[in-house]
Amino acid sequence: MSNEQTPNSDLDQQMVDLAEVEDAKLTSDQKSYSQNQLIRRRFFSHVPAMISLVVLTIIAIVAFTSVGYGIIPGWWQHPFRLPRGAELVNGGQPTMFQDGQIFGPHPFGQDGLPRDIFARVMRGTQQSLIIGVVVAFVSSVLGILVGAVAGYFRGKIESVLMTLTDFVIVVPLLVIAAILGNFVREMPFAPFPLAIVLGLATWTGMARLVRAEVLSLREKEYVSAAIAMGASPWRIIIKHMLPNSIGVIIVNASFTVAAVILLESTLSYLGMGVQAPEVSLGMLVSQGESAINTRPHLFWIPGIFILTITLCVNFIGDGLRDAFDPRQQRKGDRRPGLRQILGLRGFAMSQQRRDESVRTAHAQEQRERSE
Amino acid sequence: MAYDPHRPEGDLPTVLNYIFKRFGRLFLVLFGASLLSYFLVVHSGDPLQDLRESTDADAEYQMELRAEQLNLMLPWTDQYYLPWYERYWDWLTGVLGCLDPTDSIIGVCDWGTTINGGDVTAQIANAAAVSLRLVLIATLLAIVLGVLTGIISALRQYSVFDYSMSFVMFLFWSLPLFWAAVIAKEYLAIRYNDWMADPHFAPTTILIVAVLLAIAIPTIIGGSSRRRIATGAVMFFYTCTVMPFLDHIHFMEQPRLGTGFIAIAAIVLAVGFTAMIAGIHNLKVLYCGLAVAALGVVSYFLTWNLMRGAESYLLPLGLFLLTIAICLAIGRIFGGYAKGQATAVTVLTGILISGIILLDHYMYTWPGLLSAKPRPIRTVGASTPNLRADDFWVVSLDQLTQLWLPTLVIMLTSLATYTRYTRSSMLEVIQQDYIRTARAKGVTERTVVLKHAFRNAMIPLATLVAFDFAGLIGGAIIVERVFGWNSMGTMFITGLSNVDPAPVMAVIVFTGGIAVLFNFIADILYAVLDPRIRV
Repeated sequence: MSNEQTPNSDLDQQMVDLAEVEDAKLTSDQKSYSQNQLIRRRFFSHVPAMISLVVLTIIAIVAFTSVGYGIIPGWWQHPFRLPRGAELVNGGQPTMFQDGQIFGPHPFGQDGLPRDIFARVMRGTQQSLIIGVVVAFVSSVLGILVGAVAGYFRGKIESVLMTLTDFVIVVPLLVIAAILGNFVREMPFAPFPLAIVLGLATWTGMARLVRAEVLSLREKEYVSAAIAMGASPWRIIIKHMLPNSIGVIIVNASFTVAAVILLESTLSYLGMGVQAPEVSLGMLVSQGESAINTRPHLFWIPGIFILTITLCVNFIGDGLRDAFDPRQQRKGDRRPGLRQILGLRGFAMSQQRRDESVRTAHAQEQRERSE
Repeated sequence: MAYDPHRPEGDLPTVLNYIFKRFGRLFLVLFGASLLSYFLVVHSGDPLQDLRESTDADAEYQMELRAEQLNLMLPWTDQYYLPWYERYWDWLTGVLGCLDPTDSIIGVCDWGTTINGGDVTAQIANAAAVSLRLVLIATLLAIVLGVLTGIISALRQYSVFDYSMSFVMFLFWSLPLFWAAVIAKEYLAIRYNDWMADPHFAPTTILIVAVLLAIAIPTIIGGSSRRRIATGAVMFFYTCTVMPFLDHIHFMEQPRLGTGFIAIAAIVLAVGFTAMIAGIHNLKVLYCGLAVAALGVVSYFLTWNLMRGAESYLLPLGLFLLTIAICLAIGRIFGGYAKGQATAVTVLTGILISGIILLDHYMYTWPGLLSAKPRPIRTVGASTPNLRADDFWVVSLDQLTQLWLPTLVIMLTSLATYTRYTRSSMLEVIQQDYIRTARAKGVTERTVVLKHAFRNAMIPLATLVAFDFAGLIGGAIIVERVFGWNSMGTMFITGLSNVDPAPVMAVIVFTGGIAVLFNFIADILYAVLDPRIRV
């Protein structure tokens, strides 16, 4: 018996030590955070996402204020449609950084008619952003509805809904989007009809994700408790399941925005999306394509705008995913500094140094406590 | 991605039952999708629009002609004549006839006719072959490159390579496909053709390439800062000597690999694969690999005349299969206790040496192609019409030059999927308990990465490929359009703008069929690969 006594008491002593260390950590770390605060903090410390957020905000503000929206006028002097008595300035080439001026009258140049490209690109950016957001909203609502109903009620409803989802998934997205886009090409209030039908084509991914999430949440105790207390299925879905799968929903929706902006520009490039006289970035690319040698800015500028917007949205989505799902993110403590990244300082060395500093800090703490 | 909503819940008695169930579902889904899209296509516009507005005297006659072609045959009214579901039924029976080789039970295989009377059956067979080739090659390349990049990124997590690759992959992921295709067409085809008129490297070009390589290669290889600087310097001077040398021997007009290069490459491949898979100290495996390398070089000389006389792809393909068989035999017979590893090394070495030999043959053909086609990359079409050559090699190389830019563009967009997936999956697996156990047992790092981590990380790749492949077919439509290929892209776009269901439905059934088929294969593969999945 005495043989077993010694390691046990050793273990007890160790546990006590460990608990003390944990206590020390807790007391030294004054603040504690709620789940939402943690998510927010993780998101705001994600550098690429933050840079993208700033860039995207600037692009959105400039796009909407410069040419105005609807009846609200903008501060830019040229309209995006051909104005009466427009003159070709500088041979249509961009006046940005030319002859000592920063912007000049037509910073992005003019096309053959001549229309101001800056105004057109800004208008196209507006359309892209509107379509991205509206489609993400429509497809999310539809996808959540289908996924939640299928996942919660199961049985016949589930198999019917999921078979329906498969019908849509099987047809390539571009194909179904083009067919649906063909339906609404002459409808008023562009680009909203297009955005809504694109939403009808892109909900399948969200439906599958939400269904999987709901299937796993069904087995949780709090759902059983809610059922036992007589909550209705809708209450359980809305109050318990959706808030708990909000991470998946938000992340997927943000990636949908980027995918849809690409999809819309592709459709418009093929002439099946946004129709003239409305402007879209994809349409601008297809108009500028033939002039790639004589007026390369007509082709490059709208393309770069599409790329920048989708890149920013994707980075924000990545940041959101890291924030909601810290399991995927292995940053923070183990992330090395710039010098290690450049290979100027070894990994092992920095690890050792940090361990040492932690150890000395602990030792110091212990000393202070004993005194 | 890895999960499937329709996996049966209970334990079915056999795998076969499961496969049958999935197969039945495959048809159900295809049928539903075709019904849905037929309805949408037929109602997306008025096929007689242009004739209704026409002022031609015989507009009415043309309308009737078109109505006949579109299967709208009923007495003239202002409406569609046949209801859409009857048209769908006619179309469906025609397409189902393709499943019936005797043409007697269901009927003749018929995909309908286009609005202008073209035969869709012939068109889709041709277009499908072209598109499938494009997407298959692009997917294969993307998988190989993406998985390699992903593994290196994961192993060097938070290195310059990792960060820059992450950014580049995000860039590719966000790239508008049509825009990239136009850029590729303009700069990699037209400007390249201009340059090929008098191909010489300018000193500035050499310097830029040298500097880029001197930065890129050390970040991939890694190591201490001294080693990085050394590799960078070696790379810089190497490029600065090799590029003028290539220029001097007119490599761009008459490229050849040469026996020396092939021999060295074969040995390096054999030794490299041995070091990677079995460890260089495993002499049994090393000898097997070197034997294959030696055989490869010998067969290069022996088959030279045979290969030059090839008339179709059958001969190179047959020789390739023979090579694989020989490699398998060498690995199995001489591998001894390390049979499995030896076979892996011999087969991989054999495949790559065959690739190098094929490359040399194509290089040998290059001057021939240049004489037949001074501007080597045409920007329109999947092959060059009226190519003044009947040599198999020239024709085949011509197809390759036409194929490579579309493949490149499609590959770039799907590269990101594989790289990001492999990276995160590897990082996930590396943290598992069984990896720690393996390390604790004293298993070497190579074995841990390749055997324990990589294999398990790659299982869900099967599902990913299925999804990605379906997406790429959509991408192929755009790229084919930009590069002016007369294939699925054109069929779909012109068909849709004419409200002509036959070609559009052909494209949908083909792409959808590919998608469900790949999903089906992925499900089966997944069940086979992952013992935790019970079918």
